[in-house]
Formats: sequence, structure tokens, C-alpha cells
Amino acid sequence: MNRRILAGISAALPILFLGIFLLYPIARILALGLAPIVGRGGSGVMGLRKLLADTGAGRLLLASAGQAFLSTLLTLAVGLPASYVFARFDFPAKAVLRALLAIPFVLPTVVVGSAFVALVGSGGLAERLAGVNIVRTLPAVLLAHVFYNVSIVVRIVGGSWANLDPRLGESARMLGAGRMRSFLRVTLRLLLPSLAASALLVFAFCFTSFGVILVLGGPRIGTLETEIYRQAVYALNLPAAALLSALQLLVAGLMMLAYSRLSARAAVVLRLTPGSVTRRTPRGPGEWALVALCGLGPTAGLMLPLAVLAAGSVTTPTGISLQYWTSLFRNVRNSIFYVSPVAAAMNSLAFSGLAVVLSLTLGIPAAYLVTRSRKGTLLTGAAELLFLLPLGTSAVTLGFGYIISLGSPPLDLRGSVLLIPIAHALVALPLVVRSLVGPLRSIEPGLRESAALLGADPARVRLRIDLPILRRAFLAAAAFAFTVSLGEFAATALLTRPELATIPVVIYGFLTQPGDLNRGQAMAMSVVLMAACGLGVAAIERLRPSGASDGASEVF
Amino acid sequence: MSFLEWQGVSKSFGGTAALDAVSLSLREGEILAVLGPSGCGKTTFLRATAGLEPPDAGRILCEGKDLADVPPHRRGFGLMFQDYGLFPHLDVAANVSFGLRMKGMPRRQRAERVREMLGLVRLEGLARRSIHELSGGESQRVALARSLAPSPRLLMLDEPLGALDATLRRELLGELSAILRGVGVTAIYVTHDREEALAVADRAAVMRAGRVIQTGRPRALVERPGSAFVASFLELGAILEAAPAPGGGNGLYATDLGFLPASAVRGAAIHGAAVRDPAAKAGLLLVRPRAVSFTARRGSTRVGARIVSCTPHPMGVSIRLALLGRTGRTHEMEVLWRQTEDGGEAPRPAAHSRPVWLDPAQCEMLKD
Repeated sequence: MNRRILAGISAALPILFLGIFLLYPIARILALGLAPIVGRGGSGVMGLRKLLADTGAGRLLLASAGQAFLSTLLTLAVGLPASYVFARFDFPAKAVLRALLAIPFVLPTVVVGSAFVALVGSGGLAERLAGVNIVRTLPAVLLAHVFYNVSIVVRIVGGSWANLDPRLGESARMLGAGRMRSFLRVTLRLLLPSLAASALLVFAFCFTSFGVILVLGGPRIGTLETEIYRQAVYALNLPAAALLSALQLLVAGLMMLAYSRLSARAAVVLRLTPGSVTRRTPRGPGEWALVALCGLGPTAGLMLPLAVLAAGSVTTPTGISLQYWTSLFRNVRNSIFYVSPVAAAMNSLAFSGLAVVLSLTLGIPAAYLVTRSRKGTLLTGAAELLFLLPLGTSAVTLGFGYIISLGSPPLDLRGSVLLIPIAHALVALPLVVRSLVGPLRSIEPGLRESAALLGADPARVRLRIDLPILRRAFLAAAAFAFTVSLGEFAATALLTRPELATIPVVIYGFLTQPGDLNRGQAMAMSVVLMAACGLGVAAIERLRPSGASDGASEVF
Repeated sequence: MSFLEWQGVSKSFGGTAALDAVSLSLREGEILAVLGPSGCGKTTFLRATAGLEPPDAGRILCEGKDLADVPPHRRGFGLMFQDYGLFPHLDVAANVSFGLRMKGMPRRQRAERVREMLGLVRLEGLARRSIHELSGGESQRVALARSLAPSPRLLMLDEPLGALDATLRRELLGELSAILRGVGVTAIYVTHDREEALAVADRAAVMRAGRVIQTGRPRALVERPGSAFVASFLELGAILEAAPAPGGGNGLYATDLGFLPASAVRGAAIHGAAVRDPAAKAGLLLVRPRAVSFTARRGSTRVGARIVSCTPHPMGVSIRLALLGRTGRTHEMEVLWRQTEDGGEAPRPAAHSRPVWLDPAQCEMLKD
């Protein structure tokens, strides 16, 4: 077959997939949400106002943005000093601490929820020690968001900081600027694009946060996300859910646009200085204290809830026992709706496997499409934005979109078990594409040209040059997709049926039911999921192409 | 009184001494070159003086006052880094005026001073240029203008021409030197390039492994290298072992190139009053290129040599010469052949050896 046609098809595949499983559901949401207003006999602007007021859209938007704003501020407050320490100093066990710092980012929201319930919830560590129970309040949500997102700040800001020539700050000092002025006018100013990019990303993640708010926020903290879920699943008010989804999409789209602009600027401005030049071992007790406080501190803070979670899974009211673990294998309630944890694990594994296959099949040609076309052209820009879009679309909106668009002709997939892995693949796709684009771009054109001049045809060039170089990147992307899929909760929560429940869905089920046994079982299962995701992260860290200094910053 | 004084300044990093009891002084208006191979502690010396790297021991005095508690930005010193450290978020004019802003100079005066500085480095038209659009030479000049703008009491330059290619370096060396003289600034010029150091400095200090091993005027360093290290670092010629001739005979030095009359060799006395003394120690002999001639001369020693390569030179032919030792070793050096002095046909590279003559008066014994 003609090679160009083949290339065309492989490039069209991911775009087609995104068209059907992302753009089409979004279009249906918009149509449904806006139909009562703009359609024939629609009520116009007045109607929109009334509808927005009826759904409490303004209040929800404010609540979503408010908690996201506070979360971002707190995350930066913890993340910036840590970024500095990780960027500028070499210290023992740094690699380990860095890897640990990255774990929360890929942890499923329900695991984090369970961990914080174990830490600051009823019967949790804080309550037993100091009588503190902050679950169902804003602080619990904020804590969990900081927990989640610190690694983003450390990776993005720390990445730029590591490559920022310290002599710039020193030049300022030699020109008469004090420590503070030199930091503000030079260092911070030069870090501003990456700082803004990371803040925006954190804000976006918190804005679309679902699982954490559902588990830790309780009914009093309602955001757009939880309200979409409530309207779609419990109130069955699809038009209201659609309107809120449309609002959510608008805000998320704007944020993603701003983010891609900012990250492009962050990449251009600085001349990179190799990290080996800018790093050194701390000197004197002051610097060691700083490293301990800002490097070790946050890492320990992140590990604490996870440790408490593990401890909580074996701590019963009557003492230490494996009761919660053994009960996972028994149908204690004899309920017909009961999904055995073992069955849920099998579901999860099957969905994740499918999601990996799907996201790689689509992600590899997509990554080639993004890198092959000339940089800066409209097409590349559009392609990059398109593959970034799923990152900004909340999984709740996605799940909701599937419910209203893929459950009726022309596409009736309601009965299909494929819906969940498709959603997972879509959520993982931007991460897969971005983790491949970096290594792909790093293959020098001269390498491929040399191979071609030595007589290799294009297929052989891919096989003999690209594949060996990218093998590790492919495996890392697969591990990434697997981990993401394993922990995906929001879309699954909307699409699941009892017999298709995944581990996160079962954990959420346990968490919402009263009693020590349910809580304990949630923790035991969370530990299993955490371990699985930990393995995934370890695999990603190990498989990271050695040339790329920072795997995650390639991803964002 | 000297303007700056270093008294036993030491600094070590993880056990290795970057500065080992450095004592030096610098007069007002003087340009001091600090010269040495990479890793000898030159940059640490600058950073300690700047206050960016506090010394472990010793004192640095400025006009008699200890600088230990004065932070870098209050010392009134300028430092120009090798890769300039220009602020990428500011344009040329804003870079130059940065130090003036820090001083709190009013806007109008600042603009005036920036214009003056850009004029000094001949970059008048580039005030609004972005840092990314500058060539290497232009960046270097902007950095110089920026460092000089706040009128520092001391300007430190760390390998200021190190990032430039050879041609540009030669061109800017003269210009830089003229600007420093013109402004009359007290300066420390750190480099590993002997030509730069000798061209720019009033006085040069040679560093090795954290210690200052010799200081002096450039001419004095070249004429009286105190040690084999200085002689070889300044590439003054070939260095070979010399020992009193066996049997104490006739006041001769025995070298790999043959016997040389000790009475003619400079610095012979340092190895004992009499070379006849059988206990006199062997030492190292420096053979300068100007000791070599291609025609026989009275009092000169005939030596076999091979011409390795010849390069046309504006003043004649630059010849890579291998002096053939008796032990089979060769001692290479670069000599200049001039039509006017050496006469005859210019030598050509050849596989076979030919004679050259060494003037012992142009050879000298080194201290170690």
C-alpha cells in the first residue's frame, strides 16, 4: 500500500478517536445544555440567567474557584521552598525523596481520600491523638490538594530553577542588590513563567477535582464537579448537568489555552545552564537545616497520610489484626449487589490493560503527528492543543458526556464494556502523548538522515533507530497509562454498573457506608491500589529515558 | 597603603583547598592579573573577594577595614562573569542601568550614564536590543558596560574573553585593556591565558593548587620565572634536567643536549657557589627559544634538531623545533625564524636532523 496513505491513516486515527470520544460528547453536552436557551423557542439571555440562577451556577463556580485558589496558594507555599532545595542542592537520598514526592500525583483520588480519612477523619490518628476531625470541612480538602499537587510545583518550577544560572542572581548582588532584591528582581522574575504555568496547572487540577471533594468535602462543599455528578446520577436532571458541564468546559478550556501559552514562554526565555553546574552540596548547619526543612519536610509530610493509611488497615478497635484484609475475600453482608473486591480487581486489571493498548495505539501516531509537522505551524499548534484537551476536560464531564451521547443512536455503546476503558484511554492519552513527544523530539534529525544515507528505508529507520531509542519511553508511557487507568474514579463513577465496578469504585462504596469494618476495608483496598500505583511510578522512574533529566516535566 | 589586602586567605571545598593561605596586596588604580591553570583557585579567589564565598580563614582588608561582615552588595565591587550573567528579561540599556537603579540614581541621570557607558564600549545603537540578539562580542561589551556603570571601587573580571573565539579575543583584548586604563579602575583580571594576563596587567600573580607562587610585573615574570612551573605555564621554552658534569670537571653542566659552560648560564649560582662542588644538586634548566640560532656562533653549543613544522608568520616563519637529546628524548619548542637576523634560506620541515646552536647565556637554571 502507498506509504503516504498509511501515514495519513495512522495520523487520522487519534484525531478520529478524539473526535468521536471527546469532541462529539462535548458537542452533545453543549447542545443539551444550551438547547433551552438558544434553540427554536428558546428563552434567550433571560432564560440563561434564570437557568444559571436555578442551578446555582454562580455559587458553584465561586466555590470551585475559591477552593482551587486557596489550594494553589498553599501548594505554592510548600512547593516553592522545596523546589529551591531540590534544584540547588545535592544531598543524600535526594533521588529517593524526589521519587517519593512524585508518588501522590499518580495516586488515585480515593486512595488519597482514604488516607486523609485515616489521618484526620473520625477515628483517625489526629482524632485519637488530639481530638481533631476535619473531614467534611474545607481544610481537609485543601490539605489533600496540597498533597496532590506539590510535586507539580517541584517538578516544573524546580526544573527551571535547576537550569537557571545562579550567576544571574550573583550578578545582581554584585551590582548592589541585596539578597531579597536580587531574588525578587532577577531569580523570581526569571522563574515567573514556570511559576505561573505550575500555578495554573495546579489551579486547573483543583478546579476539576472530584474524588477528593466527594470523599473529604462532604455535602457542604459543593463544586461544579460534584454538582454535575449529583444532577446526572441522583437528581437525573440532565439539562442542568449539561449546563454546568458547559460552564466547566468553558473555564477549563480557557485555563488550558493560557497554560499552553505560558509553558511555551517558559521554554523560550531562558538559556539553560546544566544542572551539574548549578547544584552543590549544602554548606554549614544553616543550609543543611534548610534542606531538611524544605526537602525532607514536605516528603515526610506526603508520606505521613500514606503510612497512616497502611497502619489504619491493620488497626481494628480490638487491636492489631488482619481482619479487614481477610474480610475482603468474604461476602460479609450477603448482599446481592455486593461486588467482591477480587472481582473488582479483575475488572480494574482488564480495563487498565485495554486502556494501555488503546492509549498507546492512539498515542504513538499522535506523538509522531505532533513532532513531525513543523513546529509553530497552525496544524501543530492545533494538534498539540487537541491532545492536551482531555487533560483540561474533567473526567466527570467526560463520563457525563458518554452517558448522553453514546447511549443512543447513532452510537449506542451503553451495553458495551468498552466505555470505561475508552474513557480511561482518553484521560491517559495526553500524558502518553506528552511523555513521548519529548524523547521523540530529542532524536536528532541527523541520526535518521545518516541511517537513510546508509541505505535504510523509512520503515527500517523507525525500526532500527526510533524503536531502540524510544523503547524505554514507550514502556514508561504504558506504565503511565496503566497507573492512571487503575486509579481513575470520576468517569468510572458515572459509567459503572454494579458488575463492572473497579477498585476505586468499591473503595468509595466502602467509604460512604458507616462502620469500622467498611472504613477498614476501604483502607485495606486502598493500600492494595497504592502499592499497585507505587509499582507503576517506580517503573516510570526506572524507564525514564536517561537523556531527559525530568520525566514529569516532559509530561506537563 | 594598599587598597586591598589579602592576609592568609584560605578556602576549601570538601577537603580540597581551593585557596591556601593566599596573601597579596593591590594598590589603587592597579590592574592585577591572576593567572593559573583551570582549577587552581582563581575563581574562588574572586568569589571570596566579592563576598560570594566567605573564606574559611584569613582576612580581606579594603582600605584597612576587614570585609568579613560586609555583604557583596555593599562592597562596591563589580564582578564580570565569564559567561557575563546578563539578565535575559531585560534589554541592553536596562541591564546596564541595573546597578544604577540599585544605587537609587534618578531616572534622568541613569539614562545619561547608560548612554555614556554604551558609548564607552561602542554600542550606542543597541540600547533597546534584547539580550538574545547579541553576538558574543557584543554581550561581552554589554557586560563590561554594566559592570563599570555604577563606578565600582574594584572591578573583577573572570576570564572575560574566555567565551570568545581566538580572533575576536585578540581584537577585544586591546580594546578591553584600553578601556580599563582609560577609566582608571582598580581591577583584578583572572585568566588562564598568559598572553591576556601579560598584556593587560600591571602586575601578575601566578597561582597553582590554591597558592600564589609568584607575583611580579609581567616583564619580570617572563625574564625571571621563579620556578619550572611558572616557566612551563608561561611557555617560556624547553625545560630539561641539568647536573654538574661528572668528576666536577671544568665548570660544565651536563644536560641531555650536551655540556654547557656553567659560568655563562644564568642563575647557576643558586645551585651552590661552585658547580665544581660534587655535592651540588642537579636542577632544571630553561632553554629559551631566543637561545637557538640556525647559524654557528661563538660560544654556542651545537645541538642536533629536527624541524617538525613551519608556519608562515608576519615576522618570518614560526618553526616547531624538536631538539634531539642524547638519551633519545626530544625537547620541543616554538622558535621564530627571521630573515633579517638569521639570514639565508628559511628552514623547511625535514625528516633528517640538522644542527642548531644554543647560546648558554640565554639559558637559565630554575629554582625547582
